[in-house]
Amino acid sequence: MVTVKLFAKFREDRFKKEEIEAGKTVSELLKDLNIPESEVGNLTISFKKPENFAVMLNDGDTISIFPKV
Amino acid sequence: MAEEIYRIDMSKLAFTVENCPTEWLGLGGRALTSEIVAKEVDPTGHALGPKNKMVFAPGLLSGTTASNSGRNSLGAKSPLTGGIKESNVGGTSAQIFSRLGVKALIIEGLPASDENFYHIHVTKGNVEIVECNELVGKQNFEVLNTMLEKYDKKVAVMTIGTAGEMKMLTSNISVKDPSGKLRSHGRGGLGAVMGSKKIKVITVDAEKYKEVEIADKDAFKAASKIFTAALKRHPITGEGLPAFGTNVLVNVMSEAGGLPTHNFRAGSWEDADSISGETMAETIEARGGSTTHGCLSGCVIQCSQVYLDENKDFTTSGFEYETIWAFGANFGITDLDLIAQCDYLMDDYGLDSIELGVTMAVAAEAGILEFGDGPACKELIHQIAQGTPIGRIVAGGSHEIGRLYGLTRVPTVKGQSIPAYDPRAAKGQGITYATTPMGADHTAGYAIASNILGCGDVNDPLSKVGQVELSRNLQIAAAMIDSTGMCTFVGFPALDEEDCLPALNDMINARFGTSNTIDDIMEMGKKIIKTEKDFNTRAGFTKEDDRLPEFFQEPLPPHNVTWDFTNEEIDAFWDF
Repeated sequence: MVTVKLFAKFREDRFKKEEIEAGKTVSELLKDLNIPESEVGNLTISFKKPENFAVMLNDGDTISIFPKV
Repeated sequence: MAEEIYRIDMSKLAFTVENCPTEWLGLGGRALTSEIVAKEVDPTGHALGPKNKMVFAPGLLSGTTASNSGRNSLGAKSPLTGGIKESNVGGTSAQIFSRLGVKALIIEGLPASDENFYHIHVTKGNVEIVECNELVGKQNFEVLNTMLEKYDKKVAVMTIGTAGEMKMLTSNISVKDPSGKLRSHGRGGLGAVMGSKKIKVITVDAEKYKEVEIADKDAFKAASKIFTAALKRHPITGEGLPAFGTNVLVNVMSEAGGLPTHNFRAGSWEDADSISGETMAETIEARGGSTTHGCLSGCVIQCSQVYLDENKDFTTSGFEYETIWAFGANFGITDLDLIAQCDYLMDDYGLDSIELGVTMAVAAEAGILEFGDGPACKELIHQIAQGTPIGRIVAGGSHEIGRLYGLTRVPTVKGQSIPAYDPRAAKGQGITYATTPMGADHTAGYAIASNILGCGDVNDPLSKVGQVELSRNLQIAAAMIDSTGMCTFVGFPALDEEDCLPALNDMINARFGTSNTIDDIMEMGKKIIKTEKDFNTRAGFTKEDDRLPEFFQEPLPPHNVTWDFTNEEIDAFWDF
């Protein structure tokens, strides 16, 4: 499973923390969440910034998504 | 209107007005306070002795209609660091000084007798220095309200609580904000300098002032419009800060692995959300407080807030990330209400909430109280205000407690506590902490902008690459911005919005009828930090003072990174 944590205004009408199945890319997750990539500020996977949003989310990862704050 | 230097000699209780020397005409804010301190204060003199001076100076654009331009600088030799200090504040004092035509207010000397405390009241062309022993022992909110009753609601007020009276190293100077609450010249123990000069409160008359003169009104208006639009357009100043305040950084830093936790033992905290900006905004909204508030009139960012308790009564305002981090993640309090109560007490007693917050974790390290014990922490703050022996020890700050209790885990540089961003996991910020002449100060060169927040030239916070240059560029820019009267957050759009910095420069030119380029004002920034560095060198500082404490060589989870700069790499900061 992958833990998804949302912050600041991204929590509005969504959630703070949820678990999803592994196997999606960051881009796919953002699309599912209806978050435009252009609005994403800090994004970390288990505390580290990914090289790009094509990175696959694996079991045990925590992805944290912030708008530009 | 001529700009003048007001000078008060406390040894004679006398006042003079001087014409502003030509070489100071183009300076304001930090540029002017550091210039005057470097020129007039003996760097080897005792910070609490007769040789030190307090220099207040509004920024170059203070008093104009430019957005966010009301910061007032205070310079002196710091009793905490032993080096030069500039600490700027919002509130109303900068705008009122500027409209009175006061380029700088210099306060020098000590009264011949230690017997009395004084109230200084500044009006156009005159200063009254009167005994105010009835205010001795009173705390800031009471002094503030007494002044507002005596004069009028618009008077500028600068006051010290009992911490400043007792010349404590963690004491600050509180300043009235537009809504009648307090902001602070926070860092460096400047409340102790005011206490040493036996000044309890300074008020500045706001009634007889005139608008500041603008050399080219149309050009000023046009540039001001562009500047304000840039502030509103940038996602941080236009959206993030207004909605969640600076405290949005608790979760940002925790998820980036750079939130110092349990006295800098870890970079992430499982309870971060309990004290986060998101939780704070929810709490404030549920209780009917206000998530937006300006520390100065003309603020378009509104990052401050009004925090209410469960009964919807006022608890505190100006409740900032670095304070919440210190009492939260670093000391261990998970109850935001309790941290808010501590914040109010520190405002009232006149204590630097960053210095004292970091100190609490060091005090826990020393066994004075337990990590996370909020009620004990509050009690200790009361003890400081009363001046009990343990209160005085804790009010000495992290560095002094570390020495007294034989500790090595003491996060300070030049005696001043490191705030809110672990230097191992945000290495550009670490270079700022090591090198700034101010002692560890996050605002002196806010590399978090590029290390973490995606502003300007984004870089990897965990790598050493490019960090020295980043910190240097940011420190130069910060010194320039601190001289304009602008709030530090102007730095975000200045990095990203291409019309922001030119508009800032255009406003300065339109105000004074000058034709400076951006390179010219950046040169001013360079000169400021070199002047400050030179003061510190003359005070006895060496390269060895530009170092982080040894314990930062321990790995910081979750990234397991260490502070790995060589001394030569750090010293290269000054190659410009």
